[in-house]
Amino acid sequence: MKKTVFLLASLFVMACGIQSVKAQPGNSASVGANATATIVKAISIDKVKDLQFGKIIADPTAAGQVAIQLDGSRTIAAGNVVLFNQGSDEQAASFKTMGTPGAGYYLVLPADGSVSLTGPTGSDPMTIEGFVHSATGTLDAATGEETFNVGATLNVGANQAPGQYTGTFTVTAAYN
Amino acid sequence: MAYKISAVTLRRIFGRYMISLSEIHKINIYVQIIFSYLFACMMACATQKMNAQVSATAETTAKIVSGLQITKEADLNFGSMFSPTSGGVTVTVDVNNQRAATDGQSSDLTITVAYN
Repeated sequence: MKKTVFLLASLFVMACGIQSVKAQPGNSASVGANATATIVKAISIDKVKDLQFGKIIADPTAAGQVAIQLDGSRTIAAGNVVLFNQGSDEQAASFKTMGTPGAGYYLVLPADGSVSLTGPTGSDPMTIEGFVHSATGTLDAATGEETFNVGATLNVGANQAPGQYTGTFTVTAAYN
Repeated sequence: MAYKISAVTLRRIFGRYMISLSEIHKINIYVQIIFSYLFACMMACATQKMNAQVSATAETTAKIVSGLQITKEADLNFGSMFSPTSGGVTVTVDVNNQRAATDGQSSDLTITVAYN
């Protein structure tokens, strides 16, 4: 109630003040000012390529890690897994951000262990950690675009069941 | 979103200033303008936060293939033979289980001896 009274009293005083100003003929001045606004292009992001770890042979007794580098190559990050290269289709993921030319932006990648690949019935899922990206964080000054790669590390369990494993992950972009 | 203050309330507040009906109407218009402005500001802020981030989803895959396995079906057996009297002899067993002596002295293998 007190707040309402205070608000209304303030309004009343302001209204009186405006009326008083208007009531002074011959003592007014005015100046013009420009009003401007710039509508900038909203940032957007598209997936270009998926993240593929390729074909892997799990060790019967020890866990291991396979990493996809930013250039798309893969390495054994830890453990005794074997990289099976015949018909393997490993590649880094790729995304394209679009927006205002020259604008700075940042990316948010999944947290370690938050993304899982699920496989055949009864198999244990495999988690992904260590997401990395190659973005500069600045959209191209001419095109307003930037294409960047995303790599990560896959945790392969000991005696991981053979089969196809799939999952999804999300990359978020926003202006600084 | 209409927010109005009743004439009774306003007269109670401004009772001693003899507030008129037209002034009550004006005050209510101001109140509505202020509330509309505040509401618009809140909506604009909320919209900005919602539009500030955009996302894209990619699929990730891996294929675990079975390791190569091998088991023994039969041992390699060169059979029985005589030792050469001199030099060395190479005895081979091919994939069809055929045995041969590839050394020049392999004829030694054919020497037949017999116990007395």
